[in-house]
Amino acid sequence: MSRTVAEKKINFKIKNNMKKHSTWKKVISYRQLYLMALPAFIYYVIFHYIPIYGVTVAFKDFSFVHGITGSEWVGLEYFKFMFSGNAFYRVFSNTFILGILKICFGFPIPVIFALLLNEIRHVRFKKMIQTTSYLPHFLSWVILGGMFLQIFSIHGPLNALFEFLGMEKISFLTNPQRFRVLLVATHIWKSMGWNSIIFLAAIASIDTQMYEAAVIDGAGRIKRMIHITLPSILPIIIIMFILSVGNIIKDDFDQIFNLYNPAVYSTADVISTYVYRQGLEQMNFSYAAAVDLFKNIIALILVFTSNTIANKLDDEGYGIW
Amino acid sequence: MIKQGRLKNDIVFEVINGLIMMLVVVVTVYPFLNIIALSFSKTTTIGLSLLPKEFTLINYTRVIENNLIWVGLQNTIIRVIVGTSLTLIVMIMFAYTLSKKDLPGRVFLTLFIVFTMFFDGGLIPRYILIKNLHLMNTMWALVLPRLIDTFALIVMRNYMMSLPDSLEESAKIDGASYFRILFSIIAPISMPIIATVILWTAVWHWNAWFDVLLYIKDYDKMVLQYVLRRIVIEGASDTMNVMMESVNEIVPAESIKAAAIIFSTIPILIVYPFLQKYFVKGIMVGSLKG
Amino acid sequence: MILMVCCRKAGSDAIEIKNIRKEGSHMKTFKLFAVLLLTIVMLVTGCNGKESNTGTNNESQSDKGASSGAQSEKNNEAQLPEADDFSEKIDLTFAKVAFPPKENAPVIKKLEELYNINFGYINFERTKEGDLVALKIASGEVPDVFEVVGNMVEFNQYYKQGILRSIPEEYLKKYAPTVYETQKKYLKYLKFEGEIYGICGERLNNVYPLNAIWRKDWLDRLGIAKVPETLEEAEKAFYAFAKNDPDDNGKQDTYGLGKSGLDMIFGAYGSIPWGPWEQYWLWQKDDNGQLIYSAVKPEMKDALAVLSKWYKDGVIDPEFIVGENKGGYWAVSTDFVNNKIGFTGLAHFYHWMPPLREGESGGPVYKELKIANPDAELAYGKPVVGPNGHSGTWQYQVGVGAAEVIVLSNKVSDKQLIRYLQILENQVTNEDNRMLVEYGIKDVHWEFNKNGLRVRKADYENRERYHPEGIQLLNSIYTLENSRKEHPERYAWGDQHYDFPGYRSELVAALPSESKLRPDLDLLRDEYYISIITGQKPLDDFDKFVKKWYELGGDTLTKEANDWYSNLEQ
Repeated sequence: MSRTVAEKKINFKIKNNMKKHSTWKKVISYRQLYLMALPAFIYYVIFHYIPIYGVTVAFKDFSFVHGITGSEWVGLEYFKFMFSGNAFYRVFSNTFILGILKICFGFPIPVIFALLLNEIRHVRFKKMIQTTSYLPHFLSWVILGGMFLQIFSIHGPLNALFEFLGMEKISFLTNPQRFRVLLVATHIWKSMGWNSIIFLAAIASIDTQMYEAAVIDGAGRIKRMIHITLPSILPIIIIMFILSVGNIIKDDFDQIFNLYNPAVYSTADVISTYVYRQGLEQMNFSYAAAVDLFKNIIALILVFTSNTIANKLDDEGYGIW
Repeated sequence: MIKQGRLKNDIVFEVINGLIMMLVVVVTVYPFLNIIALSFSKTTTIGLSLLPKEFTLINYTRVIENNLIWVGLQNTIIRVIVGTSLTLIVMIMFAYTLSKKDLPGRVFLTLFIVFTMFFDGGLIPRYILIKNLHLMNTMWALVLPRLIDTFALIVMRNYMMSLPDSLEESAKIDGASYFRILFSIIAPISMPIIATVILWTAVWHWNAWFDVLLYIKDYDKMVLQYVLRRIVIEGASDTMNVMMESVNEIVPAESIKAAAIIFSTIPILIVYPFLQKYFVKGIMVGSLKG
Repeated sequence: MILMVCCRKAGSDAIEIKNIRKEGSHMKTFKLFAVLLLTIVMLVTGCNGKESNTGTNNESQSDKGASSGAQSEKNNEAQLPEADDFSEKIDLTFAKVAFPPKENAPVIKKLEELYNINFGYINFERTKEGDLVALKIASGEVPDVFEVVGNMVEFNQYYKQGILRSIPEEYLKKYAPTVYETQKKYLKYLKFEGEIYGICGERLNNVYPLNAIWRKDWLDRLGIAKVPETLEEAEKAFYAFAKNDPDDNGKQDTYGLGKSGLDMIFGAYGSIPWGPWEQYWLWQKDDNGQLIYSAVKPEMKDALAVLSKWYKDGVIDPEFIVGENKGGYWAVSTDFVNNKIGFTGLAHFYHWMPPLREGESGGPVYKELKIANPDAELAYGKPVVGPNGHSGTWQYQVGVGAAEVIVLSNKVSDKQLIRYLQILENQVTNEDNRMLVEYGIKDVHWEFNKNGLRVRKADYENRERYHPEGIQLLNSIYTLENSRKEHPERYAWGDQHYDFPGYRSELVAALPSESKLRPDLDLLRDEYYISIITGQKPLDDFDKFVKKWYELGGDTLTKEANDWYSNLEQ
């Protein structure tokens, strides 16, 4: 507090020199670590960086005969084509809205589920809940699609229940707005248990001594959950959030493809279904690559932004970089 | 000890919580029971019922009799074991290196891997790469390209970052190598996250079929999910499949599909409890610190 | 980095500096990272460029060789090479969507002996996750013989990209005369710039229009003695289905018709605005001989008027747009089977075929219906006749457009071509060899049942079981005649019950702007048609739709379709 600006500057210079010097020292002292990182590094170079030239296909007119490198450059033509379609903006905003809904509701629920599950004291019951909760992860949408169409049909059991309760029947499948609800709900249903595993793992690694101390202080279960468990797993929540923010732009093709119908295209038609209908079967490789690249750039921006925000909020530096 | 500290609120909370969890169980287990019921039915339409119609074991016999299913199961198990163990070793070492906050070049390495999450060369270059590496038609074509999942790597790194530095200090003073510190101190305390990564990787390998479609040519190298998918999507309302239908083929009944699905899920249900203990048990960090 | 630690110790005022440092070092790393990345990418693209360039050169050379060879052959048409006596062993690679065959698969072994070939095989599966066809072609693994099924855009693409070799007409005539006879009527669709590029199969199933099936027991219960033949009669029956509790359960939970039923009503007005699957559409000739897109024909407005009235009156399933099939095998009309609707047009005729002889269980959907609903009885009707005498259901193309088109890689030599044509001829003319490809070896893979029909043995019933044996891995075609020979009773039954008009598109090609314009136009059509039927839009919006359709690219498509059509006539 009492030091002057000049002093600070000098201090800074000295430390800067010291740092340069010590970097090499550090590298040498960490040489074992670098060696341990080497296999992974080589893996990334071979399996991720060598094939990366494939990205260029988005700027080329892909020719089967000449392959990726031999195809002709066409610049941004496929991007222009992408934006020229009337439906593209709608498809894009649908993807975005759905992605945001999925993250708003789909992200906190596994966390809450993990927290609540952790409070179950009966170990067998706890294990049983956990096991059943991740089962939906193993069923494909081809199978689930038919089941959901029957459950949510206006003639289905859900509407029968509504009728029994004296409410009006609701068509989830043909109403564009409600269909969004359906997509988000079934997504949560399918992924909740599976996505909660990482949070359960984080909870499992909380030092149990902390709880013992809290119990002595007379804290109730809810208090302990909010004041010990939640803050302890916050770093993992933050990193999971940052990583999943990029998914806003990535839709679940299989889910939507197996559930949607023309009546709800106005809200359910997303980038992947659009591209599919646009004709991946027509083998338009360059176009598909352009859409992919576009999606990835948006995802990168999203992740970058959320990472920056996370770093600003949290001094510990638990962001990605 | 805890019992004495129980408050009235706690009991209310526990009851409500228990009810919520019961609801979760009912809602998530229902489709499974429906599929199980279907798999024991003689008929192929049971709607949303949970009881088999005309009980039979014939669907399971049909699945078990299928030689390809066994070939697939065997290859899947090999792939899961080899793939998961390789992944684990390489990933733990890398995650540990990246978890050192003052490691020179750490930010560079992090960006180096994060970049790959967003830019991917696509199918064709990957295929050509596997071809040029002469991995075609071998198990390595299934294991190596997915050696590290960057997502899991970052999660693991962050977990290791959050461990107190004091953990390894005494070992360092004793002159232990980083290698030893990692495997004797860091890895044991990171068991929850390691178990998570094992689960993620193993399940990924268990479910994977597309890479088999791409890289594997031989009948006796097929994996279970590839066979299963074939059975399940046969006749599903997908234009690509419907066009291929010929008059002379019999589409597998829905009940056989159901039996195949259940058959392929059972091994997961058997293995899972071995990992589960790491998710439901707490760890005593304090005792390890000592 | 050490600085960070020091600063933290120094107190809160040092945080500012720390941040500057942090950002500075991050920027540097970013730059370093970017430079390194660029170098790697350049290095990698450089290397790969070389590799695939050499590959390309080879390919284009052989390409030239093949085409010049074909040309020189053309010059002396009179002297085609003698028919191959199968004495020389030739390599041929085939491609199908199938499981890989086992090592020493018995059927492949037999075929290799029979045709003296080295049998190669490539899986050509296409999935939503990725397309093996494109992948294999792009990485140079083009099979000698492969096929395109029902997708004209794809056929077009292959030709345009220069992957295919042409099949000289005189070759076809000389080495595969029987095949040539069957091809005559399709040749105009198989040609690009005067040269033939494919040989197409024929699907006898597609001779029959799609179904018009009623619940006979419902009609009986409601006292409707005659299966409806006109639109008025149908209207009466549909209203009765919806209002008079045909299933006798005391609840009003039935409807007249669902999605597939709409097609017959449109048909009664002279057209069908959509196909049974997304890639199909209907183009018809108008009075001036010009092609016109079905959904914009003025008659459709009259059909929509009727349908929106029915919808309002609760005759059409309110969720018709979800489709009648609710998962599982696509051809099963779940709603029809489960007593929700009393009429369906889903699937092909043979799906609904009753058992023709004792001991059989009938078509796959009929079987399903009988299990779920043993009391249900069917009336195989004809599409009802509308006010202007129109009637019909959807009808697929028999050959090109909905059947497989066999194509050959441009690397195929004349020798290989001749051998393959002779194999194909043999397949079409020799029943035993055809059965070897389709069903496998007698008494191992199949047997005659007591009605004298070929049936697969239980162990080889499904694809994942018979493909490994080598069954169905050789690309071949079925002709109408051969299909009929194989299942005489089935088609006799079809002839008897499906002798009625259908709507078949006049357009059998991919239009140049189709992939660009059609997805949006299809959306537009669906939006207007659905909204008008459900009453969200007034009927008069149909005119708006027509106008919009032409404006948003329908004009171009119509012009392209007519250009194609007039070229075809020439």
